[in-house]
Amino acid sequence: MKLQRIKINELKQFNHPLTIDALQPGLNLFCGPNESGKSTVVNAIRAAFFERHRSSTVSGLRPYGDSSAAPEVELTFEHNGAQWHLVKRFLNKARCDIQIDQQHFSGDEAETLLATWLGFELPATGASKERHWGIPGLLWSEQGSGQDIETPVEHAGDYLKTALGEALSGVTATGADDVINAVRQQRADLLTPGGKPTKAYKKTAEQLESLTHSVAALRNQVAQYRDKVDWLGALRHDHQQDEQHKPWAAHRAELARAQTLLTEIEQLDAQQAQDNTALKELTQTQTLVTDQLQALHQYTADLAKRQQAAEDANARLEDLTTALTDAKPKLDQARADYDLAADQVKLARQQEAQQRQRDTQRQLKQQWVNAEKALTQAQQTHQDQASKREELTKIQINPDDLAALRDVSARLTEAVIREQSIATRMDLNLQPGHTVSLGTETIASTGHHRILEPTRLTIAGVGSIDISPGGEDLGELSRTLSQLRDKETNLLDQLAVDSLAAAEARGQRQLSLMQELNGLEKLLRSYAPDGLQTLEQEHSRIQDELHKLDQLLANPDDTNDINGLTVAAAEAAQQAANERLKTQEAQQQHLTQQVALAKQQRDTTAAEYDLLAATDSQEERTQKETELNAQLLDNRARQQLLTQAIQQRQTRIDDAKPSLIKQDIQRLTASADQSQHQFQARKEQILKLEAELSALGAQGLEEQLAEQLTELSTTQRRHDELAHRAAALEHLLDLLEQKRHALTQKLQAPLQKHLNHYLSILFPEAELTVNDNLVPTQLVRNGATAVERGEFNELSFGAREQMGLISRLAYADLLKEAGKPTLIILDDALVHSDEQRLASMKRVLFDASQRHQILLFTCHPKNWDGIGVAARNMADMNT
Amino acid sequence: MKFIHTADWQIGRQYDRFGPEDSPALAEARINTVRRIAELAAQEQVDAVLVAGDVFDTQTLKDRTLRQLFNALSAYTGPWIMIPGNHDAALAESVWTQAQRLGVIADNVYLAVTPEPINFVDQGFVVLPAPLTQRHTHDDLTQWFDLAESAPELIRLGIAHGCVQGILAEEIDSANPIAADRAERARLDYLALGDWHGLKQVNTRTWYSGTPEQDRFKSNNPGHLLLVEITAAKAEPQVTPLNVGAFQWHQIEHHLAVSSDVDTVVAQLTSITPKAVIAVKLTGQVDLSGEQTLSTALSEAEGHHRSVTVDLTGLKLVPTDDDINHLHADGYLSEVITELRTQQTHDNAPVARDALGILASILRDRQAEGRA
Repeated sequence: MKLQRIKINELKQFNHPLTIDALQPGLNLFCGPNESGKSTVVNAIRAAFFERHRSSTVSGLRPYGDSSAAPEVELTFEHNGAQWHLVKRFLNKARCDIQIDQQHFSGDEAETLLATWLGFELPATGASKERHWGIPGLLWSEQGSGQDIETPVEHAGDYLKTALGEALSGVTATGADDVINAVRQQRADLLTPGGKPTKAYKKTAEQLESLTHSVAALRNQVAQYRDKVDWLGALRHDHQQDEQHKPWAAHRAELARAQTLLTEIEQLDAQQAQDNTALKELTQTQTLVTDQLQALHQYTADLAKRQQAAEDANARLEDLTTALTDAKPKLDQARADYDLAADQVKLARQQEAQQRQRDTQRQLKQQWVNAEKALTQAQQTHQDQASKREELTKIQINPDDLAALRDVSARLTEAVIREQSIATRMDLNLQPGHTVSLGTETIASTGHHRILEPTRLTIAGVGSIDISPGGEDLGELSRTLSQLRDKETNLLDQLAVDSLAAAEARGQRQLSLMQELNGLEKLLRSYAPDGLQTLEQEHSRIQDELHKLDQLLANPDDTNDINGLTVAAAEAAQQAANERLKTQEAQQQHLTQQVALAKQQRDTTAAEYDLLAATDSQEERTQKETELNAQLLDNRARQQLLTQAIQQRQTRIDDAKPSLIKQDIQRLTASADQSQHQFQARKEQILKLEAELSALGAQGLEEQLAEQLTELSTTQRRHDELAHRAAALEHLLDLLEQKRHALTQKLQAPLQKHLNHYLSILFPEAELTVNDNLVPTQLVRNGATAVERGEFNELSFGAREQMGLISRLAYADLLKEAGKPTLIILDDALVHSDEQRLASMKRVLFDASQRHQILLFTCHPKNWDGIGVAARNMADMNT
Repeated sequence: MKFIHTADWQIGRQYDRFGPEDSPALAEARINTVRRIAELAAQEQVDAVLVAGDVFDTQTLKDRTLRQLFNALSAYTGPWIMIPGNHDAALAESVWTQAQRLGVIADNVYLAVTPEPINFVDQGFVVLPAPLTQRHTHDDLTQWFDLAESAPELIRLGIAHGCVQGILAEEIDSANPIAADRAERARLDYLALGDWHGLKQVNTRTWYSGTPEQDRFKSNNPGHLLLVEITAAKAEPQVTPLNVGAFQWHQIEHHLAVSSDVDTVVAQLTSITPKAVIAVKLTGQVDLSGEQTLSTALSEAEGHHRSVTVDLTGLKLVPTDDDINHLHADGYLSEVITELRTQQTHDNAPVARDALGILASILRDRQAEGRA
């Protein structure tokens, strides 16, 4: 298809007719600024094909504000050697005419012809929408939508497949998609998309389950019912048997027999108990008698024992008394021995004391001599001290005052020397006889004078000469001198000396006196360390003590000679005597005590014997014993009889086995009761079962079950049918989709070839894959290091635009091969491409323009420099 | 004397192989048949009606069903002599005690639940019953007939329910045995038997009447009752089978190989007298046009008959090339048809067949739309 001429009138901004002619069969580039009418041209072409001429929804095509305009598009084009002329007018005198060579079509027929030929859909009513646009929608990209490829391909899908399929020698099937849709719909009535039962199928499955449950429940009930019927039969049978045979009667008869036997045994038991009691009493009496006899024997023995004891006590007393008497002289001797030893000790001690006093006296005498000597020397020293101290008091001089005097004297001496040196010296060599008076002094000799103050020298007969000494500080010096002299005088007075030398001598003497005193003090301390007074006291104490001792020893005791016996030996002898005395005394005491005890013992035993002997007489005791022995024998005979009787009876009782008989009674009673109870319970059970079964029977369980089974099997059949149908539909759908997929893959191959052709211009060895719907999905490129895969939708805007254009061109190639008309319109394409890509895309477009007519509208003419055709300016046409 | 011998009414039987419409109708038909028996008995003025067991199909029936059955007897006021069979055995609690409690058993119904002779002296006969009081027994309950005394002038009639030894196939209820020569040994003039649902003569004096209303697809001659005439004791009975069944049951089983086989089946279907109960089971293969012919014939039969059930699971759908052309299936649709046709020879045959059927029907609909 090659457009040759476009004419537009009363359409949007074209109030006046616009004619674009001399269109080239290949690439046509239109440029112009925004709103110069590029898009209007594109819209006019779209309207000419897509919009129905009768449509009332295209008023937007009218020029602004011109409500009476009749927008008109006139297209002239050539296809397969035939010349087409299409005129379409909207809104006002709307019409559609097509002239193909000599053939003419108009109105709906003409529009349908166009739609079929180009491969798009006409809207039933209203404006044409994207979904109607089919193949032109794909090949004619609108401004700003070049990157979107999926939607247009989808809308063109059926047309593409049909068109392409025809080329593929009929592998496609007519209306196959409708068939698939029909199968899908029928499947949807039975199965969810995930393949689970739905709607009626699901409901049937649910019914089936619930019926299966209720049938199972009913079956169970029926089985229970049957069991109960059988049970009732069995119960009735047993009941009849019991009624006839009464099994409890036999138990009762046996029970009566056992009870009689038990009564007999119980009587025997009572007798046995009586005899046992009697025997027990007899035994007790026997014990009593035996005890009495024993007591009697015991008494006799006790009496004899006490008599013996009394005698023994008496004999012992006598022995002890004798011993006591024998011990007395020994004790006396021991006492005498002790007293003698004690006297000896006393004497020995006296002698020892006198010896010690004599020793003391000797020592004291020596001490007194020493003390006497020390005291005399100390007293001498003390006197020396006193005289030195007296002298010291007299000459005492203050060392500070002495120092001050020394200082003043030194300064005075210095001042006098200075005065002498600076005074006006006057040497007088008077001739003899002559005198002069100096001041008041008259001088008549030779010599020199020192003048210290203004002095008048009067030379008699001559007159006088006033001399004023010239030194400036002479006055000052003179004052100092007089001050110092005053001071010296004061100090000398104070110290009560007449000169410094005297003062110095006194100071010297004071120092030596103090040293002497110091030596005397040390000496005194050597004689009397604790002071003189203490020494004197010590001296008199020794004297006193000595005096006392002299008196004591002057009259010594007249001493018994003890033959040199020492105190220690005397004391040892006394100790031994003491021991002997203590032993004798203890012996004495012990014997005295023993005698007293023996006396008491003797009295007690005698009293006890008397007491016992007084109670019973021997005759009485003998008679009592005889009686008791007779009673003992009699009892023994009775005991024997009773024991025998008891033994015999017990054998009878044991032989009858009373515990077993009691168990029998228990057992038989229980058996009889139990079988009667069972009989009764069974009777009640029968009545209960009869009632229960008649109620159950009235429900018609088995009939219900039969009905439910019918329903179940119907439902089961229905379910099976639906399941088969679902499986069949699933299978059919699978198969159809497989086939369609296979077909699509066949269609993909040529598309892929064309895509790769264009792509190789952009990226060497790249591939753009397409899916079943022939939509580009993935761009595979050789990257720097690895193969890069990019999902179409994730590519950059620019890349998507480029891929979109490439895809469109590839579809166009396919359509061309299938003999279909191709016209490519690109409104403002590739505005997001960089220079390098744009250059490649120019090659792509140029290559495509060798096979297809391409109308390219742009507002950036410079971008398209080098595309190989000159741009036609919209502005030039619009005049 | 003249009496009717019938058995195996199986009242309360449900037919789970039929749908919810047919099953109750067939159940009700059994009661209607009993009504016709009563009418026939009245009309023939028979002396008695002997029902040889299995009056009821189960032990627990709805009261309504019991009332309907006993009401159906009302047309005949003579003695009805019934024994319990294995389905309605006189257990401790049974359908019979239920009926007794309901008070629906009329005075002229003699229910024999104990093995004791029932004398009808005025009518000149005595009945020796062998009622089942257990569901199954392995004793011959008719044994006591041999020793049973009866007045010599009375016609001796035996009535029993069970399996005559050595006559019927082994698998048929070998429980409840009955000696084949019981009639002879017990000096019976006639032994009325139940349990076998087809009409069957054991010997001149021993018969199975079969069920009066057919209840299974077994062509053993069901749907009858026996009208028996015995002129005097020891006389040979005259037995006349009468058809009383409402529905005949037909089973058509056919293997389809060539297209004319379809015509045979259609002819067989159309030859059946309405109203019948029909079961069709077809195997083999059929082409699309044959299948259409068949389904038309089957749906017509459904209109004419009580019940038509069809089993085509063993039937393959094999479209011919003509079929495919006719469906205008081109491209891969035609490939799909071919593949489904092939698949029917494999494991998944029924699914492939159904899938093919669905596809063909969609394509046919599309054709129809195209034409419309």
